[in-house]
Amino acid sequence: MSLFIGYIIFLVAFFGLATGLFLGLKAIKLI
Amino acid sequence: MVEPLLSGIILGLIPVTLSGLLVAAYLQYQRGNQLGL
Repeated sequence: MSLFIGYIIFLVAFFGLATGLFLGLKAIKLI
Repeated sequence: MVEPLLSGIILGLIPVTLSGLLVAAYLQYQRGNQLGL
């Protein structure tokens, strides 16, 4: 059970960072 | 001493990393290096 929670923590962190960077860099027209 | 949360993070990191490397390599294999990296 805790292993899946760890995996979900990783997925949220990974795709959260990816989406945040993508939208943030797009918003300031860096990409 | 086994930390299940840590194990989940590490075991999740491995397939995501490998699939990311494969996708990046395949995109260059198909259309050449247009990633600008």
